[in-house]
Amino acid sequence: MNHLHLLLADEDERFLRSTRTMLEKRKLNVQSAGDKQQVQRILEQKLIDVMLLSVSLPVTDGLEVLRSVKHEHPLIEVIMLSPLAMAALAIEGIRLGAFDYLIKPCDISDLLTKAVDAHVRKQANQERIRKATIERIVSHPMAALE
Amino acid sequence: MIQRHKLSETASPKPSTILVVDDEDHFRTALRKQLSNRGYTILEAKTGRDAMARMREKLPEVVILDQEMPGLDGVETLRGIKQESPHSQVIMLTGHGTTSAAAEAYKYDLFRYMHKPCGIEDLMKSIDAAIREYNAGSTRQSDVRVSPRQNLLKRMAGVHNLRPGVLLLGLVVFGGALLLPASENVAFQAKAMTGTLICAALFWATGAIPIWITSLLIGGLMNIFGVLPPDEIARAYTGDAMLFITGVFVVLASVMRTGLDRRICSLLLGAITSPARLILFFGPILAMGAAFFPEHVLPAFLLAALIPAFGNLVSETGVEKNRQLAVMMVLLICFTANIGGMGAPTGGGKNAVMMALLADYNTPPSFGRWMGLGLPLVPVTALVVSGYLWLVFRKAITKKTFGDLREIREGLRPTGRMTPDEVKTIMVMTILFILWIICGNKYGLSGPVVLAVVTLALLKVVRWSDINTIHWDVIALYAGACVLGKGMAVSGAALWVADGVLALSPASLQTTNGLSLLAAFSSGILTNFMNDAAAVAVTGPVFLSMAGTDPWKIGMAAAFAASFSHMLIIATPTNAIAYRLARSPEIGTPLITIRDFFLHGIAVWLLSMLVLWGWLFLGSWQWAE
Repeated sequence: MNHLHLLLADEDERFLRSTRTMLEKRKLNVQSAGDKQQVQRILEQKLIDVMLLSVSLPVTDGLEVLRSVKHEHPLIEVIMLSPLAMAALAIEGIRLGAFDYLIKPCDISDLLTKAVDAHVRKQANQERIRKATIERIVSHPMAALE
Repeated sequence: MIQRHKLSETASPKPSTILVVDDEDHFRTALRKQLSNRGYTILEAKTGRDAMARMREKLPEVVILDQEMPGLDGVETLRGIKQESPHSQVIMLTGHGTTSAAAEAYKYDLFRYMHKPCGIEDLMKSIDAAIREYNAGSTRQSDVRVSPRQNLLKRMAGVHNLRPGVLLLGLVVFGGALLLPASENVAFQAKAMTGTLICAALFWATGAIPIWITSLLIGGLMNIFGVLPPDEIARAYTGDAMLFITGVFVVLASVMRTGLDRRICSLLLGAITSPARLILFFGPILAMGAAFFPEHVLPAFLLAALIPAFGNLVSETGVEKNRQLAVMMVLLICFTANIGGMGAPTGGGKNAVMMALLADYNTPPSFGRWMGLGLPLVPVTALVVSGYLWLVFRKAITKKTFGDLREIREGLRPTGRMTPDEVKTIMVMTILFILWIICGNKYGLSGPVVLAVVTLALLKVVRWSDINTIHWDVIALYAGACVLGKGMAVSGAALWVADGVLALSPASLQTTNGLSLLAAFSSGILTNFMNDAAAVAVTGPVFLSMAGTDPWKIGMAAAFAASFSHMLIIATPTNAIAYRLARSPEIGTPLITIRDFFLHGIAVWLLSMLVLWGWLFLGSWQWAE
C-alpha cells in the first residue's frame, strides 16, 4: 500500500511526457504539472510524497514554488531539477529545504534512486511524528485535542 | 535596484552591520568602501578566528565570507558563526569553488553562494535579500516569545497541564469541603480527604496540572491534614501492586524494543482472511491480547499501521465504503482493546489499583483467580461488540473493500525470522505467567515480575535506557490513586460518602448484587471522563466500604466497568491515539470524528454494561467460585 506518489513539475512538455511514461512503467503513481497553478491544484487534490521541481518553472521561478510547497506541506520532499548552468539555484533550493538536486539531463535510474530515498525520508519523518504523538497522548489523552 | 535598497534602509532605522571576512587586504578595503558608501556599518576580519572574535563584540546581520582562508576554512568559520548567532546570514564568496563544496556549506545554513569576482550590484542584491531574511528570522523568533493578549476566559482555561481556572475551582471545592458543618460522626480528616478526592479527580480529568504532580499533591495534603503518618503514606505509594505494574511496564518495554509487538499485531491482522473471521476472531483475540499487554501497546501499534494505510486508500480512491470500513476497524480496535482490560491483573493500572484497594480491606484475589473471574467475560463482550459493529457497518464490508483491506494487511506482514531477543522475551513471559498463576498466593504479584525483569536484564534484552522510556508519570498516577484509596478508607471519608449513596438508593439495590451494579455503573461512567485507574480510585473505596465481608464482587465489578471507556475520545489513550492519528495532515479529511466515537461508544458502552450485569446476576460468579 506504500506506493510512491510523485509529482513532476517542469516547463518542458516533452521531458514531462517521457519521464512520466518511464516512471509509470516502474509502477510509480505519477502526476505532472507545467506551471505553478497546476502544481497547486494537484497538491490540493492529491496525496503527494515526492516532488521533482524544475528551477525554471514558469510564472514564478522554481525556488518560489519550493518555498510555498515547503510552507504549506512541510512533509513533502522536493528534489530540484536544473540544467548545469543553473546548478547554483538548485543548490540554493537545498537551503530552502529541498531534499536533493538533479542536473538535467539525468539518468532515469538516478532519478528513481533519489526519489525513493526522498520517499524513505518522508515516511521516516511521518513515523517519527506518529511516535511522538502517541508518546504525548499516553501520559494524558487530553493532549490529543491540542 | 537602487529603490529596493532604499526600501530596506527605511525598513530598519539602524544601519545594518556587515562583517567581511577575507584574507586579501585589497579586496576587503574595496568592499568596505563600497558598503560604507551605501550606509552600512562594516566590521572586518582577516581570518576565521578573527571573525569569531569580532562576532563576540557585535553580532552582524550579514557576513560575507571567503571560502579559502588560512587557518579555519570557510565552512568551519560558517559553522562557528551559526553557532554564535544563528540568525546572521552568511554569503560565501569563492574564486575556485566547486558545487560540492557549496552543497556541504548549505548543510550549515549558508544563505547564498557566489563566485568571485562578482559584480557589486549582484552582491548588493544578495546582501539586501540576506538582510530581509535576517529580519524575517528575528520576527519569527519574537513571535514565539510575545504571546498575544487573551481574554479572561481563555486565560483561565489555560493550556494542557496548566489550567488556572480548574486549579482555582479545586481550591474552592477543597475549602468548601473543609467548611462543611461539623458533625459528630464525621472527622475533620474525612472532610479533608473528600476535598482531596474531588480535587484529584478534577485535576486528573482536565489535565489542570501534570498528572504526577496531582499524585504527589494527594500525599502532601494527607500529610498536612494528619490523615496518615508520613511512613504510612510512603507505604501506600508503593506496595505489591505498584511494584507489579512497574515491572509489567518494564517487560512491555522489552516487548516493544524487540519488535515483538509488531509481530503479534501482524499475526492478528493475518487472522483477517474473511469477513467472518474479522468479526468472530479478530476482535475477541485482540481483546484477549490486550488483557496481557496492557493499555495502549497493541492497539497503538495497530492504529499507527492501519490508519495511515486506510487514509492513503480513502484519499486515493475516494470510495465511501472504504471510509466506512476504516471507521469500523478503528472502532473495533479501540473498543475491544478497552474491553480486554478486564481479563487479567495485567490489563492495566486500574486493576493494580483495585488490587491495592482490596489488599486494604481483605486479601486481594490472586492472579489466577482474577483471570478465572475476568477472562471468560472478555471474548463474550468482545463478540457482542463485534456483532454490533458488523450490524451497523455490514454494508461497508464488500468483496471490493475487503480486498483493499487484504492489500493493506499484506503491506504489514512481519519480516524475517524471530530474533533471539524475541524468543527470549517470549520464554520469560511464558514463565512469568505460569509463576503468576501457580505461585501467585506465595509470591504475590510483584515477586514473579521482578524475577522476570532481572532475567531479561541478565539476558541483555532489556537495558536501563529502555526502562527510562517508561511513562513514570502514568505510574505515579496509579500510585497516587492507591494513596487516595487508602486515605479515603482510613479517614472514614469513604464510609461518609457511602452513607450518602445508601441514603439515596432504593432498598432493593442495597444487596451485594445491587451494590455491584451501582459500583459498575458509577465507575463505568467516570472512566469516560478520567483515567481508568483514577475512576477506580474514586469509586472503589466508597463501594468497598459498604461491602461487608466479601468485597471481591463489588470491587471487581468496579474495576471491570472501568474498562468501558468507549464514549469520549479523551477517555483512554487508545481512543485519543485513534482520533489524533486519523486527523494527521497526510490523511486529508479526518477518517474518524468525535461523533463516531460518541454515538457508537454509547451503544457499545450499554452492551458491555449489560453483559457485565448479566455476569453479576446470572450466577456465573457462583459458577466461577
